[in-house]
Amino acid sequence: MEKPLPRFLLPVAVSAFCLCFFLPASAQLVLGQYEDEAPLRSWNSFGIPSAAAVGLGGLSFARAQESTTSLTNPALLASLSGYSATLSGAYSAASLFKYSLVNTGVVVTRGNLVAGTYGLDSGSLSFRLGSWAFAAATGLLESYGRPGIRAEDSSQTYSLDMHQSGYLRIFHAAAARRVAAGLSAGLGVNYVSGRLSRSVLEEYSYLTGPITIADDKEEKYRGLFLNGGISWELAGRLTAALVFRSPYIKKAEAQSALRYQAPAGGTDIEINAEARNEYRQPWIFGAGGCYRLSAAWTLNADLAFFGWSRYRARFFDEPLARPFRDVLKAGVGVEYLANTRIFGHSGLVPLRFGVAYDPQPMDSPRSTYLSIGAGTGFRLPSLALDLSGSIGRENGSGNSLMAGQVVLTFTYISNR
Amino acid sequence: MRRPFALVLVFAVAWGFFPAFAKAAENGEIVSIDKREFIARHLEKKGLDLLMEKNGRVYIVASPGELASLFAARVRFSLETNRLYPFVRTGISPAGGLNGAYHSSLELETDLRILERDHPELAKVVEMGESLEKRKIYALKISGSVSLEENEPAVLFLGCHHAREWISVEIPYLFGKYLLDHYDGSPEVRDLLDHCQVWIVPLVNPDGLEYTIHVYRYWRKNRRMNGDGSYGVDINRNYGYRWGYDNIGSSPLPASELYRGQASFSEPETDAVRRLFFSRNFGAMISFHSFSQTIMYPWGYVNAPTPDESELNAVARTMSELISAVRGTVYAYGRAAGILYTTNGDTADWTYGVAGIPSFTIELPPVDVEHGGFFNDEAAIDAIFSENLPAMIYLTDYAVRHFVPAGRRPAGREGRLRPPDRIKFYGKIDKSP
Repeated sequence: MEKPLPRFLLPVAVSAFCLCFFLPASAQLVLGQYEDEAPLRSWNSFGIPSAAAVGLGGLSFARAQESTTSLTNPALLASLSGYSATLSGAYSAASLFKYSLVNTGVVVTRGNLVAGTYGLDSGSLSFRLGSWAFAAATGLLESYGRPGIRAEDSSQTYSLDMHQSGYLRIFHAAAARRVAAGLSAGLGVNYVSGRLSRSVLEEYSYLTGPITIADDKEEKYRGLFLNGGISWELAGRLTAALVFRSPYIKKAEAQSALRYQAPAGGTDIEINAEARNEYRQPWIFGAGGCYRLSAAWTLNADLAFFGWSRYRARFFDEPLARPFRDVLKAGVGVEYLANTRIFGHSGLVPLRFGVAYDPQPMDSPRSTYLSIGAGTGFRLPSLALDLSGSIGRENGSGNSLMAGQVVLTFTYISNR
Repeated sequence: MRRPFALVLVFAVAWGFFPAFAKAAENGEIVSIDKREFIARHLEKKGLDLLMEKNGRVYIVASPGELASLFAARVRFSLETNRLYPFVRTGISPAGGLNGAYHSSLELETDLRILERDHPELAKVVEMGESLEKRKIYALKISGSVSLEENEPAVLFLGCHHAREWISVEIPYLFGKYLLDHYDGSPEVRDLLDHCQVWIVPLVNPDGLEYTIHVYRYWRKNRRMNGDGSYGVDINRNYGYRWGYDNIGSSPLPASELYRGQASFSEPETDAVRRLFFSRNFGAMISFHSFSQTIMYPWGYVNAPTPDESELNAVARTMSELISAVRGTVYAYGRAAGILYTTNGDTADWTYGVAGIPSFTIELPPVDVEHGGFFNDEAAIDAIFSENLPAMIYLTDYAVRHFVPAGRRPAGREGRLRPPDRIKFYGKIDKSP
């Protein structure tokens, strides 16, 4: 004889069923990775990862591969010998679904759209002076480009064009010092500048003549912040590091021009605005470790905390709704060094593999990129060339977004 | 050598705080503290500048020194300056910003609060409801003794059902401001407000308005996620009288600009209007839209006359003449379905259909797309208001003159008031095709 179901199950089941209908109501806000001010690929940008870092999961707080690491942990400069120069080029791409007027009610696409950027990503120099080390670096910290849109009706009496582009460039200077055996500390000063421009142009063809509606917004960014860290070599095999980036206000001189033109009616209406926008960037704290398993094998693990709940955006004198949460980004990577001879010189071929967990700050919908990275290259005593790529897939938004990059880094390190 | 370096590091970390508190150094920060903690620690005795109390939190303005004290006392607080700064910029009109002289949702809220603050005896801001994106929908109640619930007629002025019709926010808002500014100086305004309540809802669709400001200027509907990838319900097709009567006056297709929603009053915006409407004795209603310079009265859902056709036509004609007398602007007038196109589920059909009150949709300037379409020059706002002002006063006065006190309510229609000669029409209206 079958046992009857407990009586409480029916109301519980009915309640759960009803909840399924009510829950979606909380997701009305169209917040996502790709608000206009959101960096392409991920909100969680901290420094500019070199090819070696990308191959190891994207973060590299405890291991000095070249002077670019100063952007995240200047303390690592103290472990570089002589002087060094690094140049990186990168191709970065991301797929987007909801952004601006795309898939938020005006323009509907059949699937995700892809935006890509390529160019010289970063350049850096470092040199040692006794127990001190210094570095200077510059690079492309964030990109705000979006896939452009052009839509027309079949009779070609109406068209809509939308474009957005922008970037944030960083200028960095840092000093580091070996303060005790195995213990180094470093501090960097960073100035960022950039711009973001967005335009929407609509054109109607009426019998009496054309009508155009243009909406242009432009922001010029600047900001100043500090980053710093300490690294500690423990027991010869293990290096641990702590890093931070200070909060700062990314300020923007902003202009907006909205214009309606209908020459047939002699109509030309403009609404112009100027403002000083502010984007309060949060603290970032990080911890990392690098463990040398053997002469050939090294394990890296890094964790970064982004205090996005403190993020505030003020846009043309009004606060923007950005209900964000704090997030922890993590990366783990392993490197194997193979001995080889290159052009008659003995050298090393690194093989790297890493994974990264990169949750985005939006409260709803929750969205996380899971990425894998891999890389290789060759290292001579003074020269290194590294090539790495990463690809990440997003979960949570329902749009299966992708983000990836390929980075090529050339490094010269003198042994003096 | 180690100590100087450590000092530099400490300074650097402290300096990291600096940007976040830069504003505090200038003016003080707005911070919120859990009310229980505020009381428990007797912070109220410390002379902090108390702003308000909301949702269990106390909001204060704290100087840098006071912030340091809060830190030292280990009081947990949240910085709210960015979020609330516009609200404390009292004393100046915050209109400006991205949409120029037109109001954003936040600017309107601030300006309504300013009117309430400056005229506490006459004006009261009422939260009618909340939009899908959790923005408040506000009504401004204006009356000679606003705090009293008197048995007097009420007139309703609604704006911005359609997000892109920015001018339709300004006209009802300016009407409220005009009444309040002229109560003391104008016997006509004083007499009017002493005998009625004017209810002004300048912004029925705040989410849509914000979308037009930030993303796409020509957005029309609200911001409902329809579940099929499309967004928005046309909330002026979502009211309950002859809702979905046909697929010409509204659309069952979610992607359509005229999408009427899944059910009448399915949207929080229309539901908020409904609840306000049924809570008062409204004697007349105008819903402002743009564009085409037209005054329309029911029916909209079908091109057939209401039993009150001649009276509604006479009121519309008078309003048109009053508007034209200001500076010659011609507003056409007529039955909605006849003069423009059929609409079902719109505001005027509903308020007339359920309450039998004079109900009008006024399409503000310009007259056509060649003269701006949904755009109006910022400099034209005052002129458009000035020409509509006599018509709004006339309709308010009309409602006062035709008011039926509560004691004479017809049996079975509690909560609704209408002149006795209208009662006979009500039944007929309900049976209309």
